[in-house]
Amino acid sequence: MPFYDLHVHTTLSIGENSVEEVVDMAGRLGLTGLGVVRYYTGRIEKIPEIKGTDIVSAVMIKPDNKEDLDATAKKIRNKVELLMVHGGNYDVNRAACENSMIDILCHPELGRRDSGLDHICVKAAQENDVAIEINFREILESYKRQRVYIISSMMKNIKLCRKYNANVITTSGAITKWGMRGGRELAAITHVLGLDLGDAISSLSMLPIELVKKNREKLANRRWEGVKVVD
Amino acid sequence: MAEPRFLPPSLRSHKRYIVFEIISDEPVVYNDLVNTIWNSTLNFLGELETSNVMLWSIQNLYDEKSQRGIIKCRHDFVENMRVILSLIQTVGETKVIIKVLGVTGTIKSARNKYLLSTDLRNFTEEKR
Repeated sequence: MPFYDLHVHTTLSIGENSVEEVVDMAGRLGLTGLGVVRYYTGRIEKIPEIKGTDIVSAVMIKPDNKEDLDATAKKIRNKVELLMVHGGNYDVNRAACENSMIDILCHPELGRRDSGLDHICVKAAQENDVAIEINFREILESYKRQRVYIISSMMKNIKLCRKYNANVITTSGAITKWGMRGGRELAAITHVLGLDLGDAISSLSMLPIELVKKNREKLANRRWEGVKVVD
Repeated sequence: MAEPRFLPPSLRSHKRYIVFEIISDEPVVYNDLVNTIWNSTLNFLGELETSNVMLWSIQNLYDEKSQRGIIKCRHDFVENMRVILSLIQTVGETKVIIKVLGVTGTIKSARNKYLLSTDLRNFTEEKR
């Protein structure tokens, strides 16, 4: 089964390893696709072309407020295959969920004691097709009580997503190649946190594949709203 | 001294064998690995749940050359064990990733599917 990990950092952002090293590790772990994330700082770093793994050009924006998020999203939406928002601030989380140009809201519970999302956000995320991320690095790099808080927040978010049929995407969020994991292992984490096993596996295979395909078609002007190609 | 008899199969708990491979820069020693797995299990599940897992590692099926091994657990804890193995970052001083190759119901199928190409020490092939 093809697995996509859509959130991996390299030396192009805050990661420690180069794109080549990360792609090599993805091959060893059996990942089909990899989302190489860069932060938007006025310009977008170019990803070197490497054969063997499907590399998705992903950009993460770190807005301060709703206006900033809307303006930045509008500016770069047509330049990247995947647009992610750095979550953590409730206002930003909610603005991201209400913006249909955003693909993934990353770690909404980052740096918070609560889960960072409520029923209004998740309803909006479902309506606007924004996926909520379950970030494995948050669990991996926390210990004891902190890990308990994070797991608890993620469980709450997953429960809300199940209730309102919002999309959940599981990623490793790795900043080194040793933080990466296989697709089935990441799916097991989401399953243990409360998502059905089928949906958990889909959050790493079917959902990311469809998301990337849809965005690539939009970028190539091969997709129009309301028009469907019949084989 | 008398010992309790084996339970009939219907009363034994169902088990699964998880075949894993370690990705690391340096070879990993079996004893360190088992200690790390136990610590990770106890941290993640706690003492009460760990006692339900029926965790068992099989020493003579761990191959230090290919870094592949098998652990046994109860069938309803397989997903938990996947998480526990993926939460392991280091064994001793070595950075590792533990990749699950597959889950089987018997040692025989685990050996045939995932370990047959490896050099199995202290293991004699069954003769039919």
